[in-house]
Parts: sequence; C-alpha cells; structure tokens
Amino acid sequence: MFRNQHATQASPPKTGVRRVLVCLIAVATLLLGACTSTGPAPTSVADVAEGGGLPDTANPDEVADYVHETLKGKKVAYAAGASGFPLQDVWRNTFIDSFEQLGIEFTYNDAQADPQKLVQNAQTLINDDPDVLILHNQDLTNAANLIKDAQAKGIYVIVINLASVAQSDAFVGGNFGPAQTALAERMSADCAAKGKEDIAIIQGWSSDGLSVQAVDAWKAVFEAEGMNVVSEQAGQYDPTKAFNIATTVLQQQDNLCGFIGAWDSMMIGAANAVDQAGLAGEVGVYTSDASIVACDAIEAGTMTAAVDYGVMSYGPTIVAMVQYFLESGIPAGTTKNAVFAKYTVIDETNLHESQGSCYTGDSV
Amino acid sequence: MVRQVDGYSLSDRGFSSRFSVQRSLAELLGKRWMDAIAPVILLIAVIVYFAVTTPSFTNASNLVTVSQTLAEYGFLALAMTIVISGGGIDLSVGGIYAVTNAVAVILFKIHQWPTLVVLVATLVLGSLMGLFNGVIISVLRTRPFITTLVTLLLFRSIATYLDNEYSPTVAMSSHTDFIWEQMTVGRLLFLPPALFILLVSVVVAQIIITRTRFGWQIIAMGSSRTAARRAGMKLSRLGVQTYVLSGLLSGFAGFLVATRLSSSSQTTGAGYEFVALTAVIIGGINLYGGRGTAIKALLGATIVAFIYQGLLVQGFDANAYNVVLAIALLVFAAFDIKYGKNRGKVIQKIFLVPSSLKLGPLEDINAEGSVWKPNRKLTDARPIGLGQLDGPEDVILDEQGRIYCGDRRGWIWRFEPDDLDHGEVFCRVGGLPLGLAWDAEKNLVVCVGGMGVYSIDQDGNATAVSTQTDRNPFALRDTSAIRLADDLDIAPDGKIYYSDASTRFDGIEYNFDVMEARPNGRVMVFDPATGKTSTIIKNMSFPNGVCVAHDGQSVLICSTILSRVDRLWIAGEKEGTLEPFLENLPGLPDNINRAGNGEYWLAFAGMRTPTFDLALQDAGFRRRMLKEIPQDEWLIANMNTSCVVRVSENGEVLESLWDETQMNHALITSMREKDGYLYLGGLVNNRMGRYTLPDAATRTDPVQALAQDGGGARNG
Repeated sequence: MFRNQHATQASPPKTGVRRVLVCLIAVATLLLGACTSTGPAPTSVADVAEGGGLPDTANPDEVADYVHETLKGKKVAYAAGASGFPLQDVWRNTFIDSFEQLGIEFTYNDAQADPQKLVQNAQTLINDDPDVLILHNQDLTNAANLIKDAQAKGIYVIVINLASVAQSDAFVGGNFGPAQTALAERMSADCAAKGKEDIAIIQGWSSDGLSVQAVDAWKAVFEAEGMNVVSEQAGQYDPTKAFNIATTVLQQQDNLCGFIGAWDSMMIGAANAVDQAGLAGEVGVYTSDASIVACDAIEAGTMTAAVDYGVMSYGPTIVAMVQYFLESGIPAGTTKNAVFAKYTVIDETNLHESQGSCYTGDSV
Repeated sequence: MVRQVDGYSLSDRGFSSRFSVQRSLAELLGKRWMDAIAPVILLIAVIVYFAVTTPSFTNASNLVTVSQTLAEYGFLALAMTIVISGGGIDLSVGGIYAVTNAVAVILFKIHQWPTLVVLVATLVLGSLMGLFNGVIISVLRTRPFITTLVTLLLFRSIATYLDNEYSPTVAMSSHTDFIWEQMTVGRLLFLPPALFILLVSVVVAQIIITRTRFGWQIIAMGSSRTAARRAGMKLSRLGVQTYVLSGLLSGFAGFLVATRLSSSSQTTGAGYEFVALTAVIIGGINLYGGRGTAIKALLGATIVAFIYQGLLVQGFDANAYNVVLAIALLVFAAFDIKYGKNRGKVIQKIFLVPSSLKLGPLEDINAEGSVWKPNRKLTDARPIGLGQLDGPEDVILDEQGRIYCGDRRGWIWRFEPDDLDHGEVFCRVGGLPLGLAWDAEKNLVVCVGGMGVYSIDQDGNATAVSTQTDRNPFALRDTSAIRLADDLDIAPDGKIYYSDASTRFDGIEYNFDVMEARPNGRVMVFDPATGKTSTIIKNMSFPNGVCVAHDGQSVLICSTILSRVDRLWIAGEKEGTLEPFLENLPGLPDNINRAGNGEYWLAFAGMRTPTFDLALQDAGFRRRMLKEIPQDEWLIANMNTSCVVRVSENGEVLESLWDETQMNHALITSMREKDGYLYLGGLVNNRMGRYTLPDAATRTDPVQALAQDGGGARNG
C-alpha cells in the first residue's frame, strides 16, 4: 500500500502510465473532433524524451535542448561512506561540479565510515524521493533490502566501488579480481626476491565487496606462490586501526615480508608503523588504490607498490550513467549492469605515468 | 449515590479565588510524572523545529526510518534504565548488542536456524552476558562503571572476532524466511513491527517498574542500598537480575538490527552506550538511581532518534549529531541535578497560598452581661489521668461509665469510673487519635489523623473502616486518601459522618491550613451497607466537630476557620441542604456534642482576635510573613482559651464555661456530658477533666450512641 503510493509518484516508471494517459486523452480529443493530431506519435524532441532517447535525426541544438529538458530538476542523491579522503572527495567533487552543469539537483550525506549508519543515511535520502541514488556501499548484504526498496520506488541505484549482493541498476567499480591478483603477484615476486614468505593482510571491513574479493584473490596468489599469510585483520578503512594492527604484527613477526591491504588511505597507517619501526624498505607495504596518499608514500619509500584500479574514472562514469538512465527512460531496476575500470600496478618507477594515479580530492 | 453539597459559599469569597495558579503549580511540581515535562517539551520542540525547517522530515518514509532506529535505541535505553534505576550502570549494552547481532546473523544466515529459534538463542545469549556482568558486580562486589567498561571492551572484541571470522560467509548467504523478512519489510499501520514490539515492551516494563514488588525493590535498591538491605531485600540477587534484564533487552535490540540489516559489522553498536545513556538522562532518569520509568526511557530514546534523523535530513553529518547530543546531555544532566535538588524547596516555598478571608464583626466577649464573659467554672474540674495523658483531643464514656480518650502518641486510654487517676491503654491504634463515637455494636469508632476512621472492638482490636474515597478525576492532587479525619458521629442508620479537616495538610500541620484560610477540607459519609466513603460536603474550610442532632435528622458541623457551625440535613424534606446553625462566633469552634436537655456542648480551640481577623483579610501580609520569618514567630490564631458553651437546639448560646486561669485546662477541644458530669478533653492537655454540672439533678442525659442495632460500622 505504502510502497505503491510511492511507486506511482516517482517519475521514471510513470512514463508507461503517462503514455497510456496521453493516448487516452488524445483519442478522446480526436473523438470530440477538437484535435488535429493524428494520434499519440511523438512529434517533437520533448515527446521523444518521455519515450526514451533521441529521435533518429536531430540537430545539435535539439540534442542540447533534449538533454537539458530531460535532466532539469532531476534529483540525484549520494550516500557517501565517508569523507575527508581523496577517494570519496574526488567522487563527491566530480558529482557536485558535473551535476550542477547539467541542471541536476544534487544532495549527499556522509556515514563517517559506519556501515550501519550508511543504511539509515541512504534510507533518509530515498525518503526524499530522488531520481537516482548513488550508494557508496560498505557491506555486501546490509543495504540489500534498501537497494530493492529504492528500485521498487522507481529510483535508479548506482553502487560505487563496493558491491552489494542485491544488484543495482549499475555497479561502477574496479576489475578487482585481476587487479588484486596483479598486486599480490607483484608482492610475491618482491618477497621471493627477498627470500621472505610471511605476509600480513589488512582488509577493509570483513564483509565489503572489495575486501571479500581482494582477500580471495590475494590468498589464491599467495598459496600458489608458496607465501604464508600470518595475519588477517580488518582495518575498517581506518588508518589508525591499520597502524595499530601493523605495529602489533611487526612486534610478533620477525620475518615479515610485508603488508597488503585494501586501501591506501588506510594502509598509510601501516606504512607509518613500518617506518616508525625503522623497517621501511625492509618490510613492504602494498595497497589497493593509488591516490596522492599512496604516491607520496611510495616516493618517500614507506610504501612499495599500489594498484590503481581506476578510482578517478568512477566519478565521470557515474555522471555518464546517470545521464544515460535519465535520458533513456528505462524504468529503474529493469537492467542490472556492472561497469569495471582499468587497473595498473604502480611503484616508484611508473607512478607519474599512470593516468588517474596520484589523484587528490580536488582532481576533477 | 450521595448528593454533594458545596461548602464554598459558606464564606463570602469570590468565584475567582476558587483557583490559584500558584497552588496548581505547586501541585503540578509535586507530581512524579512532572520529571518528564522537560523531555516532553524538548521532544515537541525537536519535532516542531525539524518539521518547520525541513518539510521532508515529516514524510511517512522518514517516520519509518526513524522508528527502525528508535526500536533499537529504545530497547537499549530500557536496558540502561533498569540498571540505572537499581543504582548501577551498564556500559556494555552496545557490546551485547553487537555480539547478539553477530550471533543472530550467523545462526540465521549460515546455520539457517528458524527465526524464532534464533530469537530465543539471541535472548538467552544476551541474558547470559548480562548474568556475567551481574555476577561480577553483585557477587564479587566490583564497581559497575569499571566492570561494564571492561566487559564492553571484551564483548566488542568478541563481536570483532565474529565479524572477521564469519561476515564474508554471511554476506554470501541469501537465506531468509517469512518472519525474518517481515521483521524488515513488514508494516503494521505503515510502521515497522519492531516499533510495536518496543511499545508493548515499554508498557510491560512500565508496569513491572511501577506496579510490582520486583520493580519497587529495584527502585528501593537504587534509592538507598542500606535501607533496602535493612528492609530485608536480597540485593545481590536483585542486582544480578537487573543486569540479566539489561542483557536480555540489549540482546533483543541485537536481534532487531540483525533482522533489519542481515549483516554484522565491526562498528555495529559502537558508541551506543553513549546513545543509551544520553536517552536515559534526557528522558529524566536519575543517574544515581531510584528514579526511572520505562516511559521516560522511551521518551529519551525518541528524542535522540529524532535529533539524529532531523540532522540527517538537514544534511548535517554524524559529527554534528554527536555535538548536539553532547550538549543535550550536558544541559539535561545539569538540569536533572538542579531539578532534583530544588524541586522540593520550590514546592515548599510555593505550596502555601494564603487567601483573603473576611469574617463578620467580632463580638466583645468581655462586655458586661455577655453570655461569653470568661469565668472560672472549669478551673477546679477534677483532673483525670493527670500526667499519664498527652493530648486527649476527644473524650467519650460507655454505658458502664468508663472513660475513653485519645492520646497524641497514637493510643486510646480507658479509665474505670472508680479510679480516675490511673488508666490503661485500651488500644494502640497509631496516628493521631481525635474524634470518638460508639456504633450500634458497642465498637469505639475513632477518627485517626493521618490514617482515617478506625473501629476498635471491646477487646481493643482496631480495624480500618474508612481510609479512602474515590479519586476526583479532575483534581491534580490525589485526594483519595483521608488525610486528617478529625471528628465523627454516627447517624441512626449507622452511616458515619466525619470531617476530613484538610486535604492538603496533616494533623501536625493544621496551622498551615489556618494560614491558607482556604476551603481545603470536606465532610465525608461512610455507608456501612456499601462500604463506600463519599464526600458529602466539599470545599469546606477546616470542618472540625461533627455531631448528629438529637432527632437524628441533621448533622451539625463546625468550621474552625470560618467560626461557624452549620446544619446539614440528612433526612426529611430538607435532606441534602446546608443551613446555618451558629454564625460569626467569637471563637474557633472545635468539637460539638449532644448535651442533656436536648442541648449541645461546643468547645473552642481558641478565640478570635482583632489582629488575626485582620491578618486573615490580608493574604499578602500572611504570604510575606510565611516567607520571611520562621514558623515559631508567625502571628497565628489564638489558642488555649478553654472555652465551652452550651447551645440550644435553635442555636442560642445559653452559657459559657471557662478556665480563665488557663492553669488546669488550658485548651478544651471536646467534652461529653454523662450522669451530671461534663468530661473535658484537650488536644495539648496532660489530663482530662470532670466538671460537676450544677443543675445535674434536673438534667436528662444525652443519648451517647444514636446508631440503632444493625447499623454497626463493621457491617459493611
């Protein structure tokens, strides 16, 4: 009951109903003889917009009108997992700038690295009936109901970076399997060269999409390469926690080859711990993601290598997806897609060469 | 059904002085539920503020979102409330919440147990964790704060371990069942079921806390451990029980979040001890124990949940929430202390509200030829029980001539007619024994100030007859208890008419009532046939002496403050009406009793004076006096004049008797005539007196007990 009311209020899935209505009105006016139109066929660009997509031919002005008319006043809401780190900031800043240019209303909130709060934050954004929800998901399952709920209300959901088991209209993230495999292979090679085999893993949450995939990929590589995982803990995407974990592991493990972890802004904590223990260079730090944090640490020699899995490209990709959904008029939840970005492993030799690496929060 | 008479019109006060804002405020502050007024105002302010500034705050979806968090906060706040009320604290609620959440998710998602079995397991686990806390604190006698802080860390470590170990597997499981699903997406009146479970639990907890022995014991333990121990409570067991309950409720909150999110995380419940504590304090629950209810916990949790949701809707992040919460916590903790400390003082300061009262012109009793002229007729009345008695307010005799009187120590004395110097304590009834009367079955019925009306059989065993009446649903103050039963008499049909002199002050505080000079008293009638006590005259100014007329058709009722006696018709065509018997008396009438020859004896507690008459007119003067000078320096009504008058059936004062010296019978509050003697009693005297009536030979004795057989007070 409750949900249905909302479903009929939301705009995208209404198109079908509206079309029928337009048809009925048109037929009625025809019967009354007061209309010269020959039926409900689209006669202008704006009409086509309701149906989805541009007509076969249109001049550039018409295209611009179409885009602006379609997107004008549409609402995009972004439930951010955290803020204050290059990763989240670069996305948010991209959204703010891009959506403003497109005339889209943009709102966001910030869960401050609490997966449970994120659900409530996202739910609150949904309550305001946006057209698109961008969700920086933090847990494979906890937002599953929420995603389904939003789609049922006619809201497109785009999940960014950390996947959910409930499939959204689009997942925009990294090609994590191969990317993390590449990172682990790089690490295994370094360790083998040093003659060490003890490795400590610092994942993000235990149950976020990236960590689950990354840990699987890393372990597979380490097993194949004969490495030995001596520690596996969750740093909760928090540099302080990573620092504490790394400090403890360093005290316990004499022959540690290095740390491998889920995120540079977290692994900087581990890098600092290694540095403070006077083991920089001796104990390697390998991380997923390659923002300015990773680049600076690599240049300083406290981190060894990072895999740039395309974070910089997510913002623009999502802006593109949003436009695509809103212009296409496909009802929310009808197609479930996942879009992966390019990855590159960087170290001190190539860190400035990789496009998209060393980004900052303001790299728009 | 007794028809009520309004005694308000007996004085010439205006309609508006029926109400007093100050008095209402004092009465309001005296209400326990007033502790919750600040949180209620805050809640309304929060809702109004967010509703006005952010229209989307009030949409239905937000209500659902907020009620989901509220359900979890609510259970944690309840858990905290129970422990805090018992004088402890449970900082581990967030830890229990996290562990039970993780275990519930593991059992359901991985082991695929049915939801209800998962629920039971979660509750058992929560209770066990609470038991762990309780045993350490109550049995090993550790400090609750430190102990639960340590167990919080312990529980959080367990939760982190469980999350690390199981959550990747949990995340991959898509197992669900009907009940689990309904807990999340089901709606009852558009709201999640969890909210209704919370509301039911709050009602149950409220009943347990406020209406059961267990709840009272928790509150008693929280108020004073020493007193509770001396009252025989088993504090260790009780303490353990509060922690077990806390664990159980936190466990239920853990179950709720498990069904809502189907996942665990290392941040689950992090900082929730702070949220629960804030909710509890904002709700007005005393942090030091002894004061707490479930409703207040719900109120606090609602405020906390609404603030979070409101800030979220406005686009503030969690930091702003923490700041707002911290400020609210600080303000309310300070308010709680100030309020708890000063409430009593404020009530004390404003509770007394003097009103203006203008009495008629004062007759000069010393005028030559006045029937009132003081004399020494009673000075030589023979003392009875001299030195044994302390405050025999009323006196009565039985058929064998034995003399009975009350005593301020809560005793009833009996003197044999042949030994007036040595009496025996007939009954220790307690309270402040005042008016006495016989019922048809020769039971001595006594008004006991502070207790009500009691009946004492011939063996000296007391039973309560009338101690309460129906509560007036429109009055702020609960006046269902009989506060100051003063004097009584029993009509031929066995109905007991008695005065409840004040519904605001106790016997020892009667001076306060005089200072207020408001119609605070009432006249009650107890019907032995139904066992019910009803008010027959309301709004009466200090009704005191009560006496059924010789013919049994009416009751004479003295109003001490108004210096008058009125006749209430209880039979005949004038039944249910009030008419003046004696007006504008020069003194403050106390008890009135039947005299021989169809006359009445009337005793005066004191005489009116021009100064006090003037003081009564000036409410402002008395207000300043009460406020500014100590009680023993107040200008009070005159007392100790030992005046007794004889009055005819039509209200003519025939004779006055005095102990002008005030040496022997300083204060006479009551008297009885029997066999040519007049027996005297006085509220603060150390004796009774026996005065020989000069015209004894020509006097016929009054009937001591009008009540007919079958009309006994115990028949009800």
